[in-house]
Amino acid sequence: MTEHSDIPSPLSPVQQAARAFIESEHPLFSSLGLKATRISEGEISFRLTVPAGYSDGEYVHSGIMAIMLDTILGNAVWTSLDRFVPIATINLKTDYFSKVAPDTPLICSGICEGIRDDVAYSTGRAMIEKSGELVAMAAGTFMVGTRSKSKSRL
Amino acid sequence: MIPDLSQNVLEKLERRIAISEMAGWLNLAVTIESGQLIYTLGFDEAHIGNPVIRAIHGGVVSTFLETASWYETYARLPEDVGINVTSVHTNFLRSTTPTDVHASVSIHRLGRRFGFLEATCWQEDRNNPVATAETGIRIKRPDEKSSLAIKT
Repeated sequence: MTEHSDIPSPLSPVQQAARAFIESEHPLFSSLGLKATRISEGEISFRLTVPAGYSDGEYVHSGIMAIMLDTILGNAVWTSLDRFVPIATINLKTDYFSKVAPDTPLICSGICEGIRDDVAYSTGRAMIEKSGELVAMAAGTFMVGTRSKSKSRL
Repeated sequence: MIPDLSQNVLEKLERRIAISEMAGWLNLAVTIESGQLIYTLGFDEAHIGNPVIRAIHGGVVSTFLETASWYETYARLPEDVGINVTSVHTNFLRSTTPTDVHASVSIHRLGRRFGFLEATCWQEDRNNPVATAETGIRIKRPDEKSSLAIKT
């Protein structure tokens, strides 16, 4: 399964910031070659490949999926806000399905399911781009608008 | 019953850490204190979640706790047993600082086919944990017969 780009133009300022943070501003995510394939209100999707430097044996370490999904679930929260505020992960549950060889093209997507008071709820998944095979699934909650910037994890 | 740690457990773990690229990226190290394995995530700039606020990425903390749970299982089972993490549920109790993180792991149950573990990590003060994670681990023993009803 191939996911084509679905990115509106122009993006809102907060959507532009969320995209720039993942694609170019962060050294870890830059090393994964992340490219946005979908950005809309509360939904975000990226294409990436995990290089051998994050492997454990012949497959990539499952933890890199938790790192990616934590980031993308948080980004999905940002795209549903009308202004950029600090957010922090409260908890994250990640389930691992399939092992992935290094340099396999993946699609990683997140949806902000809703925000109640100042807690946002997101879900997401990582899939092999070509086959659509599920690699990992995640659900997380995020505190929106932490008390100070220094307390934010993202 | 949870298998005891063997006398040469540190050598076993260090051999495994040495051949894992991800363990290298995490700067993973392990020691024994009072009979308990203590894991360390050696801080590196690559672990930062946001360069502006300089907290360690939550996903990196989760990966560290998951990895500590994997090694705790590996430490107690024969080397020919397969160990696959199926799920990790991490609670982020407080923000981190750009310094080393340490973890210990409690084993709730290591059954014949599945293990349930809980890892806790801290930075300067062990009494102020920064995160906890419950991890589920599938254990595949060499004599396990595969189920015909389940695609593996």
